Amino acid sequence: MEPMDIRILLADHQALVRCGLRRLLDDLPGLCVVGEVASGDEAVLRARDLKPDVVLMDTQIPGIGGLEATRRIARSDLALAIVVVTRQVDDPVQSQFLEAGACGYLTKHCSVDEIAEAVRVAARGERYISADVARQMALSMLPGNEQSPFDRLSQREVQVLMMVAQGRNVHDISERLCLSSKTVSTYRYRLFDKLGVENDVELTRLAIRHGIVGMSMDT
Amino acid sequence: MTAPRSFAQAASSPIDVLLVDARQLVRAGIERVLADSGYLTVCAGVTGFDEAIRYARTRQPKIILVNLPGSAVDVLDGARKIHRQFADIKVLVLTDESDLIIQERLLQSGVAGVINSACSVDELYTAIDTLMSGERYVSDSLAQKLAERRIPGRGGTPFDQLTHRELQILLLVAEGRNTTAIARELCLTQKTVNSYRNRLLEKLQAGTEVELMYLALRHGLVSIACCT
Repeated sequence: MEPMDIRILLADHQALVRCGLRRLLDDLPGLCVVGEVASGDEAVLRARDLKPDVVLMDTQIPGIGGLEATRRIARSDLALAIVVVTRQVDDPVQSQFLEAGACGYLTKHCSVDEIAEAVRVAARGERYISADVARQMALSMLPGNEQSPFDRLSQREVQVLMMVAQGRNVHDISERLCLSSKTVSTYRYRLFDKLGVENDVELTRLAIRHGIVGMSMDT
Repeated sequence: MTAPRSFAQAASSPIDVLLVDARQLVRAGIERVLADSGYLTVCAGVTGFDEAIRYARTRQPKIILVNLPGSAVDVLDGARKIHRQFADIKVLVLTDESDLIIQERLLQSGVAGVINSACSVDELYTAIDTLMSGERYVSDSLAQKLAERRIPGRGGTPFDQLTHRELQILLLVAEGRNTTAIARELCLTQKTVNSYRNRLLEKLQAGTEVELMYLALRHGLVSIACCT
């Protein structure tokens, strides 16, 4: 390691990926991986011990998870930059990572060269957001694409949504809400339309992803 | 790192591994790790099974290494197709510890090995060597749990009673696919898909498709990328 090298801490749950990335990054001039961790908790601890310049953070690591780890590391008074590496472009929580203090954001669909570039930019204290993620973020800021698509729902629609997500059928919902089955179906289709989904399962999955309902049926 | 690996190392030329992973960065990392062994080489990296099958038709890799987290439907289906079309190619699948039901089905469908996706580099080398010696490979941590499921009265799941086709349709329903899409994907009529779905509701004692989804979610058959 040269004295001016950018020191990197790698956080990813797959040892194979960590090991391969470490070797690939170490081969590039000016970069040096000083540590690897497999969980969010470890990332917080090792960031404190190793004082790297950049933490490369997988969003879906076990333990406290990538988001909480990002928040804790960013809140500590360490002089480092966090670059988040996500699995998919349309991650519903990317803005939360940026709010939590990440200064770089890319997906695992990028090349090694791009991740190296992101590390260098972040180490200079600047922001790096990969083109595919930036495009997605820009589109989601257009009118009609507010932060949460659920904000646009009426109270009745939310009520029907919650019941669908509890696994109830149309007949059951209509009895509970004292509406006709036809009206309940109309609400369902309006929900599908507003949220851009095609069926009850997709609707429920979207609600889970946004934390509107829990991961099990009784919540 | 240099434990003797008789079968794989004894080969006169590097062993061709076809790598299946949708993410470029992950492919690059795993490719590097395999190349560094000195006797394994990634002959190609592809993003999914369709591409893998096309590639295997023209150039026969020895091993197909699959790393597709969250795509149980594709993995199950792709592994079966490869086993049927190319009996000589050994398929090694990286899976999460929680995917017990998928692992069991993979082994039944002729996959040569299932390995914990959090495995070390050395374990991956050992797994490939085991496959090259003509044996099958299952990670210790996975084997333990799979064995427990075999003890009568323990570890059984409601999915054990499903046929391959039923499980396939369950996974697609649980991923939010509608009848038309499922029919198209599996080359079935919509009527057939509907009767499968009704049979699933009956067998699994669920009232709605949303209930089926939760059941699959609870058993780790499908996942939902979550915010925390």
